[in-house]
Amino acid sequence: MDAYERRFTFIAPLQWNNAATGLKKADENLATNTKLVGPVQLNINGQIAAINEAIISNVDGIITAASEDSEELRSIITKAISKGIPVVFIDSDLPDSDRISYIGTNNVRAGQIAGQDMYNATSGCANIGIVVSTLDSPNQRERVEGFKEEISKHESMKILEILECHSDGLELMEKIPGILEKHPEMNGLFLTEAYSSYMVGGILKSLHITSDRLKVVAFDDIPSVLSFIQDGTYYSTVAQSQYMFGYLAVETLCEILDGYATDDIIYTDVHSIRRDNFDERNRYPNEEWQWYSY
Amino acid sequence: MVQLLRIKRKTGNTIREILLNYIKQAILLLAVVIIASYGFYSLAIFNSARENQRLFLINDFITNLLEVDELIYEYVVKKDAFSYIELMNELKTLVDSANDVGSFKVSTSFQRDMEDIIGILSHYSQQIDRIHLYISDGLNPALINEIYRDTGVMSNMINKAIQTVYQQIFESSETNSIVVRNRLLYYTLILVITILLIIHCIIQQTRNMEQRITIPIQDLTKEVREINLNNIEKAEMLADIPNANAEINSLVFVYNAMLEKIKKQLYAQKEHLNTKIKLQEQEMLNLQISNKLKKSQLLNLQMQINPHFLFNTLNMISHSAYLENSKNTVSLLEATADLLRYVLDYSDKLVPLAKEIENLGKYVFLLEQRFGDRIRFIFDLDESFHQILVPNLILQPLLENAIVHGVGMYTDGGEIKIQTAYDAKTQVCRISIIDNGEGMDSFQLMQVDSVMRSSEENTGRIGLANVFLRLNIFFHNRADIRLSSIQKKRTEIAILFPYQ
Repeated sequence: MDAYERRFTFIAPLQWNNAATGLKKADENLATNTKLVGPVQLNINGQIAAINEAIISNVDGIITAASEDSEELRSIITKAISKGIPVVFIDSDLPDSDRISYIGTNNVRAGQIAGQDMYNATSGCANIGIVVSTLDSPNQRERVEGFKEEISKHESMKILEILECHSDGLELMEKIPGILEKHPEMNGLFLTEAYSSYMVGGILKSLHITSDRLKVVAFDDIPSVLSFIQDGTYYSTVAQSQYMFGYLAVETLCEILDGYATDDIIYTDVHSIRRDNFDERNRYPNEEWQWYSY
Repeated sequence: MVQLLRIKRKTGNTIREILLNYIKQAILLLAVVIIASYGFYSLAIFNSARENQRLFLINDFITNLLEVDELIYEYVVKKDAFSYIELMNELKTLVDSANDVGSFKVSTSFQRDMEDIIGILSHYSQQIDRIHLYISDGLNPALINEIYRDTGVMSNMINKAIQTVYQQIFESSETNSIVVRNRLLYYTLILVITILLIIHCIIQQTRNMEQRITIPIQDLTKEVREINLNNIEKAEMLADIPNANAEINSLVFVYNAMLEKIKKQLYAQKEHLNTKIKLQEQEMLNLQISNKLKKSQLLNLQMQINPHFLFNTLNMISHSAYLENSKNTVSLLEATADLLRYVLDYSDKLVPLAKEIENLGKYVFLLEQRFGDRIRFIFDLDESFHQILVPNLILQPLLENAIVHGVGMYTDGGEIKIQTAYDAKTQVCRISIIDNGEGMDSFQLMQVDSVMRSSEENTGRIGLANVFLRLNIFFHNRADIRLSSIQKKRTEIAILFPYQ
């Protein structure tokens, strides 16, 4: 390369390929170079170390996500900012850190959309179970909040229980059948994040629980979730636009470096995908990228 | 017209040129092969050499890094200027090394990684500077150690990063070697194909040479062997050999020229010989004719002698008859004497036709005496041309024939007409003896005519042939005797000759 390219590093909690696609597209358009750093399993310490390495490598910008609300994370962000390296967050925010902008879903809005879907699915009569990863995550809390807000508009809809699965397959396989057994009157299930959305479909199928018994509103538009919608296991899913996370993150960093003021929070598109509007969903290229592991 | 002094050379390469061309092309092709193989082998080697060089450089970098680590420790411990200088030198080498590696063109991610490493290195350098500052200022060792630990962390970062980079290059060099191997295979294939093509070219060239050198020589030799020197007129010219060399073309050209010359000479010689033979034949003929002439001259002479004796005797008898008072006998004898005189005087001479007719009249007188009423003689004359000169004794023999073979047997009614005519248009004189005697059939006519025209001596009708010969000697073969006959009715012998 002859011309100087801006170096950004994206330190992700997991290897988010959809976001990476958006980042790489922005790289193409804006002549930047974004390195993808991410583990196979959640590792907050590793994440912090990776951010530190990025700082020491004198990168021009850092993109990351708050997988956890942690003090160390806050301080490393502060260190980055003090060294003159702009930081933006995507997907999950750390609002009281020194990060400059956040690009993500309006999680409350997402929850509301999920609530509307649940209302439509159950015709306003529902006993609902909610599965989150962890209530420590602000994202999760906001989605539940939005959902609850919507549900509360209808008398015959109530939430029976909220489960934490910590994005663990074994936990899910244990707790899902448990909750169904415990609440035979449960006819609605809201999955607030991608991992459980990915796993639960299979679990329900193995339990031979169909949509006659249980209406499922899931989260994210990963391929397995889409296929559960197509075969009717799920009623709908709330799709985020991780592609746009990545794209807008790079764009925002460039704007910051160019001296423009950027918004504190930048919301991206969120919409529900059901069977009836399946063909109109946003489609982004499904690519695998090279990730540096930490 | 062949001009042998200026042998025109047909355009074509000499054998020497052809061979030289062949060699030149072979050398050229060989050079191409050598250069091509050298080229691509060195390319392959260059690529792998470059890969190796890069790996070595990275190795150096890693070694440098370890050394710098050690030197930092040394400096922290020893705190002396010498250690510091060593450290800074090694650090500079390290930074330079990193920049060198950064300049490789491997891939986008490689470039990025190196930039990151260089970033870390600058922080690393900064920390080392701080250590130096702290040591110079004599600050708390704990602080210094803290920064030292920090450099350790950074050094680990760099190490890990460079390992990744090394892996990348190693993998790329590995893939490169696969690529190189593939390329080598591909190039070897091309080389083999090129060599096959070259071999093909060489074979073509050899064939071409054969075509241009060997085959023309063989063809020429074969053709030349078939020539029969004894029958050289029949020898054919050599055909041009297409696409041969200049030497063969020259040979063919000269050979053809010489053959033509020989043929012309032979022809000239033959012509010369033919002319000679013709001359000899002509001479023979002349000799024959002069022989005949001599013979007739001799005969003439002989005949001259005898008649003189006869003539004298006739005179004597005539005188005696006169004494006996036989007037009839006297006139007969006188006529006879005249005839004889005519023969003696004009033998072998030319006479005016009038004289010949006069002589014939005397003969007719005698014949009338002999034949009486049996034969009537009629004269039908055109005397306008009677002054023309003719050989003597041409009419008498004909008249004799008319009697002997014509009307001689008739007891009466025989008639002989003597007719002369001149056709002014054609300028031809015609003397005819016409009789109404026996005549001849067409076969006899033919026989008589052919005998007359032949110059043979042994014939039954000496007179006719003799007359014909003498007429043609005088009139230079422009006279003719025409015979026609209607048996028992009219037989005509006509002498024709041009008016001169």
